[in-house]
Amino acid sequence: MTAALEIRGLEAGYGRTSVLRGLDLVVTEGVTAILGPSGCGKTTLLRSVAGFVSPTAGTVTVAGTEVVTGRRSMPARLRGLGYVPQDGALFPHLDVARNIAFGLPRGERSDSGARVAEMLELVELPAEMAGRYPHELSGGQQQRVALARALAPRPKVVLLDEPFSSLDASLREDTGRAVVRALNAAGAAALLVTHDQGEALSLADQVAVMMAGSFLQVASPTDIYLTPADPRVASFLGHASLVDGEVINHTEARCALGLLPLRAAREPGAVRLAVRAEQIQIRPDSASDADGAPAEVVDISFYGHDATVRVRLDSGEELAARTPATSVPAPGDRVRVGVVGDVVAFSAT
Amino acid sequence: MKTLRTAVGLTALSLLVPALAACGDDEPTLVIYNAQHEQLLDELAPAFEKETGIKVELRNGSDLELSNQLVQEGDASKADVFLTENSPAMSQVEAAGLFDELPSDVLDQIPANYRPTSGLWTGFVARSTVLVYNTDDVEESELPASILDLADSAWDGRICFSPTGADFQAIVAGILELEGEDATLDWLEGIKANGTTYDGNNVVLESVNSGNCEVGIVYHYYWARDRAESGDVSDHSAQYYFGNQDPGAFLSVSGAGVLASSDMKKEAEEFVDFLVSEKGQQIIADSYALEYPLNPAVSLDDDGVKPFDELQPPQVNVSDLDSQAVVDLMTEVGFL
Amino acid sequence: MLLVVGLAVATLTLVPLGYVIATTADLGRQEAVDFLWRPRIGELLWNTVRLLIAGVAASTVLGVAGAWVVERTDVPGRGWWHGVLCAPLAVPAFVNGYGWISTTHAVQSFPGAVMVVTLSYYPLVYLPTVAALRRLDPAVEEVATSLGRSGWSVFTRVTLPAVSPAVLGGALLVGLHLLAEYGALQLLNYPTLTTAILQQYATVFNGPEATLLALVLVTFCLLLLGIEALLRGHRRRARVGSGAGGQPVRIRLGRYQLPVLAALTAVACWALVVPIGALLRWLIRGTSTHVDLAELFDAAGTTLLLALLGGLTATVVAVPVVWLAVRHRGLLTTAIERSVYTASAMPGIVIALALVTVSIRTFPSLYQTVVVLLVGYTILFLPRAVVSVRSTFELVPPGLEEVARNLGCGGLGVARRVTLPLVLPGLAAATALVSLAVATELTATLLLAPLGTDTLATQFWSDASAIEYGAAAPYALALILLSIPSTWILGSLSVRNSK
Repeated sequence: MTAALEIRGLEAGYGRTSVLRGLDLVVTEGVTAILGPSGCGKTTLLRSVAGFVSPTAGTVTVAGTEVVTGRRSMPARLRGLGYVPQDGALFPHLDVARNIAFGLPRGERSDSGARVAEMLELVELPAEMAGRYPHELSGGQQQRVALARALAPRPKVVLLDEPFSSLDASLREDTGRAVVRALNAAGAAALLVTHDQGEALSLADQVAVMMAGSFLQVASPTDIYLTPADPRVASFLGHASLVDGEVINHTEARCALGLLPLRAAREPGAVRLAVRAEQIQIRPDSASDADGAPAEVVDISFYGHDATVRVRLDSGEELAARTPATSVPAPGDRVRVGVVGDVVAFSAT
Repeated sequence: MKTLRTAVGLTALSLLVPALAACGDDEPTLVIYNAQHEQLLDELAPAFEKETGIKVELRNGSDLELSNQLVQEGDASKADVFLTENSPAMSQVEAAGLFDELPSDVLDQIPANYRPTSGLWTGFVARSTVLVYNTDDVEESELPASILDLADSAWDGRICFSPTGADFQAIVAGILELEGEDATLDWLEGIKANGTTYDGNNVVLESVNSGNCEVGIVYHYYWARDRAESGDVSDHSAQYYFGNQDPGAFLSVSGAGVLASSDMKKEAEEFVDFLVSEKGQQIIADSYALEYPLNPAVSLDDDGVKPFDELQPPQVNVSDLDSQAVVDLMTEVGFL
Repeated sequence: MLLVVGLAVATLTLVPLGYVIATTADLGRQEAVDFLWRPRIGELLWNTVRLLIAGVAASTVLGVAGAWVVERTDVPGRGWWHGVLCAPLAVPAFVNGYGWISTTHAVQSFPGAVMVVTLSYYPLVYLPTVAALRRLDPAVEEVATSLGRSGWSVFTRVTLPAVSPAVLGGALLVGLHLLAEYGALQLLNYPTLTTAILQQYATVFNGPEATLLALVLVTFCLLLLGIEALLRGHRRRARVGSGAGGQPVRIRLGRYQLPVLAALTAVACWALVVPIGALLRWLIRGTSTHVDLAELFDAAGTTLLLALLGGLTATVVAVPVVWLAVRHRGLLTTAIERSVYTASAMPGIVIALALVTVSIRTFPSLYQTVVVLLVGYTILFLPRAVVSVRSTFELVPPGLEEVARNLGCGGLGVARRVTLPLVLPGLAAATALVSLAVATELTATLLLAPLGTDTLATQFWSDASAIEYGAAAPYALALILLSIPSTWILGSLSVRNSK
């Protein structure tokens, strides 16, 4: 089966600054999230694929058709890609129906009622919306219409540029799920650019973590989370704290938190250990309990269902721990810190 | 930033104050609403100031602007003297009852033909109607003996003129007075059918010179002045005087009058007196204006124009020119 | 309070209309019908209408096309071309007319008249369109492209509707100017209602017929306002959501690059080189060329002062009118805003005579002082200010003003500390745009200015109508030089990143 989207050795830059440094990515089906902090180049990647930025090297293939070969690139309008920008960018002078029908072939445009209705149903909006104007819609509805508009011409791939970032938290999850359902129903693969790891992990089938113009790891959400290939991936995803340590017998490492089991065996030597926040347990410091490393609470972020507690070990390292809402200490409290489960080790360099 | 703003504000104010003060000047000055060419008055006024010590201020504009303004202002006008290019504007202000009679010693310096019988204003210079023709397209011998001939079909598509200027209106008034209403109407319809109309005598001159049309009706000084200026629009043309008391040799008169509402009537009369005096008339004759002084003691000497005493104009008095009838005829023909 | 000010402004701008109606009333109904129901009037109407339609259409096409080339294609030297396309603003229409007429007689025709007025007035469309294109969220155009639309289709279906309020505002100004244009059209021998009004004053020497024609012009003006309102519609065209902004994707011209460059060069030559070249030729060939520097500087100084004062006055007056229309939208406030347009369609002589009549009877002490002159300028050119101020006012979100109120600012405080600083570029643009018009104004200046006031425009006309072209040229050149700063301000404000 031909991949929906295939990127090979893609490079791009503005003037002398290189923004994309040789990217490879294959999207077969489903949603692929490009996850990275602001300024990592993920939007440039999306715009290169869309045809708004001209790459300097590499190839992009959409459903078997090469749209970028080195410096030659096909005009954006011929690529047959769906595109949903950050705030939807609905045409403010057209109603919802005409927005959706905008990209349909000329012949289909005149008689687009059925397709519009189908698209509205696909993005789970009521059919009456067809006559409304963009400014009469909520943010979430605008995004759904933007997706419907992108899907109407039946593209093989849809590009989504931070589509949910302007929505409030409760709306974000619903809209995100609805978008994925619509994409799946339409049979379109998607490239989703986001800086929100929750969004990436929960919506995508494949996640590419990007930093400074390169992919650090491309894998399924679980693999990315459980076996990060790079300490930066580990710390970016899921608040892992990095602690120096030393592997002593292939399966265990010693560090300020004591002797911790490794997820994968490795040669003895100096390592950095990624300890996830939910692995760290915090207990009150009492004379009777000498288990765990002594530490002091620095500050606390309370979320309701749980809280993130930042502590400073007496040996100097700072860690972030997630604790249940029922046992949150106060800043300045003396505590003991322990670790549950195994940890991932990276080379110390 | 704040000091900059203050500075800008102060500068603006300091510029504004003299501009405002200029109109609140207490020294009595003679105010002249001047529709004659400004350049002419720029020579006359200083000479007058020098001779009499009376200060003069000009408000310049065209006949139409200033006469209408005077009528709107009525008794409240600040003007003391009104000068025009052609007589109809004088007649408008006269009809509104805004002029005061001029002393007879002023009037007597100008032949009676060139001032109204009412004595409410006087002519001070005159311009002659001429034909200007393109020397590449037309021989002088082909030109008609009378301006009335231009209505003949022989001139179809060959003539141009500016019917909407006050100048043309004066010419029509002359024809009406000399030939009567029916003949004038026929003539107007004839030249309308034959000719191209332009807005402005200088445009007519330009069109003739460039060969766009062969013959144009203008006043004599347009061609003569351009000759003196650069020849840009007169180097392929010459002018032709009808003479022979033909309506086409009509002389149009520029007028001067003193306003009844003036609070400096004596000085105003002094100015008009200066204007028609030998001294004032000589200044006009020597100027670039190339218009004919009307005081018989002075004559215009210029190679480009025909001497005044050879013009042989038709005998028409300015008070006999019927502006309203002219306008009605021109409206009927569709020039207006 | 604001409403009182607004009503006062509206009353002031309606003074000429009142004068026109009162004067026309002298004419009996039958007389009026007889006068209007003539072939000559039909000819004038036809001339006016077709000039209006063709001139507005051509200015709009040229203005929008220029803006699109500069803002949306990869044409080389975009900054330079932006400057060149703004520059004709500095060349008054009558100077352009002189330049063309001394170059070829072919312009003394309908197409010639359309061409000259278009070359003079298209920047009024170009400037707001460039600014609107700058502000437009590029994402909207990108989406349309990704949906398979060609560059042309994206432009007509998405870009143009989005910038249409700006284009319409500019086109309205062009239309009003064409209705009132006299100098250039007289030179081009193209009779319209306005040239006929001047001729009526010149030959008939009484008001009613002339003011009757002025009423016809006002009718045209109301028609234009109606059409503009109809086209503008009620729909919202502002950007929805926050928008990402950023640089738009420029269209590669490829093999069209040369033709586009050739077209831009042609516009530059026709609108700038021809008139300036003609002035230089006069300067060199004319025997009357004697540059009296003292007089020139005097006239330039007066022009500068009057232009600046006129610009500032009109802008200050425009602020309450726009504020009411934008922040207190309603029938009355809209009526106030629209009323300022009626006077601008009439030629200067009508406005000036109206002010002569009214001011000499009501405020004789102010008659022929700078005050009445500035009132005249304001009435004539207020629409220029209103259009510029309004376009920036609409960009200030009311939310900002609400925040300021919440922080304890009173109404005036909000205006002074929040709104005005934000609309300052619009105020500057309004001042510049009105200043340009004041500098070239002739009739109102002649009739209303204090005695002894010589401006560059009055001196130019005085010399040019005396066939002293050589003497006239320095004044026209000085006028162009003097207009460069205003043009530059307008040019750079239009491409300021207004995000």
